[in-house]
Amino acid sequence: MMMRILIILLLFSIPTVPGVLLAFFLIRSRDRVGRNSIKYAIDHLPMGLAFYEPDGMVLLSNLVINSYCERTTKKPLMNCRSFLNDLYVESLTEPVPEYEVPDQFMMRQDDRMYQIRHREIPVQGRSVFQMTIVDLTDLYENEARLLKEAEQLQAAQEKLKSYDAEAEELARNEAFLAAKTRIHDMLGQELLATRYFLTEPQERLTAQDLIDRWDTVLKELMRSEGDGLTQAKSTMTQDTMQALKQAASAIGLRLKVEGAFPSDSARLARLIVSCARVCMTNAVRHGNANEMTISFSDDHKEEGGYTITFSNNGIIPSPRFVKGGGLNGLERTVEEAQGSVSYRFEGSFSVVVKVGSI
Amino acid sequence: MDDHMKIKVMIVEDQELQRAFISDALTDSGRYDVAVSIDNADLSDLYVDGGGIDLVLMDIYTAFGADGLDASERIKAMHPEVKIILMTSMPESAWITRARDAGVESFWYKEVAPDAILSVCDRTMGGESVYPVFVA
Repeated sequence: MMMRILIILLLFSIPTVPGVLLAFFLIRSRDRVGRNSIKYAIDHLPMGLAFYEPDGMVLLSNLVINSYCERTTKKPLMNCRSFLNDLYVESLTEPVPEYEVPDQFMMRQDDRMYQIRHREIPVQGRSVFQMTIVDLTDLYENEARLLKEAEQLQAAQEKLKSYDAEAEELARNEAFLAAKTRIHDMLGQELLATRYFLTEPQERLTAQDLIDRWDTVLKELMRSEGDGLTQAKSTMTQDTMQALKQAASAIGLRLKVEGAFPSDSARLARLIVSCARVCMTNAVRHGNANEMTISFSDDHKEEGGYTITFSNNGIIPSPRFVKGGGLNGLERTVEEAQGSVSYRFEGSFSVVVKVGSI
Repeated sequence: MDDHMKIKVMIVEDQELQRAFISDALTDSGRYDVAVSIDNADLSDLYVDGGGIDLVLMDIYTAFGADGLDASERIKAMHPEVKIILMTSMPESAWITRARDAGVESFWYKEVAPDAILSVCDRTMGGESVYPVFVA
């Protein structure tokens, strides 16, 4: 019986022994890195790699660097120092000096960009040199593109700054021209009136009339200060609101006003009148409204700003309504004054204009 | 002439004296009725929209710097049947070109003599286009 068991075990063990022995040797071999495995590994690196003696003699090189050397020098890689010399000193390829740093330089060849590095690495007290060649074309092109975009953005920013300054200068010149125009206009009229009086027989115009006219003109000139557009604040406010109400009435619109009309500047008054015109026209033409409310709020006056809301009792458009020329022009005008425009559709249609002191 | 037969005029001029002068000249002629007299060109198209205006006498530079040329272009775009006479005391040829392009009927350099403006109004309403002629 025992003999039978032994024979059975022997029969089963015979095929497994080679397997066991084979496994043993295989396991042992994984702990050992051989020349072939190293060569295999570096040949499959996505870059050129070579190790060489101080005199340039190649100790180990991979397929990529060999291929590069053959392509560039038309000969196999035998000496790395000679190869480096060919690349750099002899300008075998097109150097890119702006990227040169010690132990590293860039080369351009066939529309590709390569980074070549060489350095000493001590190995067990012995001096060994390492050379690498890496294709950085994509990285270089991205960097170049980013640099170009940055330059374009910088240029655009400079243009915007310049535009800002020009816009400011333009606004100043516009105000100055307006003042000159106004004064010129007034004086021109009176000079013509005087000439007419002196040269033509008069029935309608007497000497006293002429003197009264000059008196009014001179008072008006003295009243105009600064840029010439400044008017007595209370008169501007009162007259402007009255003018707006009358204009609204002309198109069948009743105008209500809430809050105080900003009397800071004539430019702001003009902007408000311009916006009111568009809103009133649209309210009647598109909204079929008969009442409009203009609300003035200095809720952000500490920042130098006002909020003016134009609401009407007409048809409320869809939030996705298509703006016409009037509203587009209004938005442009407000934005040029560094303000903003928004719309509300709850309860009634409102155009909300936020603008600072101008 | 009955009022309903008179030509309805809107005067847009920021100087009160000038507005009064033109208004008097037109009213005294018996042919015109000054329906509206305002100082701000930005509000002028609202009055035209409201109807009842046949002729607009528009100053180029009005209250708060509102531009009469801009207003004229807007009015002509919406109401081509309304006739416009642009007025100014400053000889600026670029304005004349722009006025013609906008379809403005006439352009008048302001003078004090009442028959001058009356003449321009009559000729314009008669279908004539009156523009300054520059002689070198």
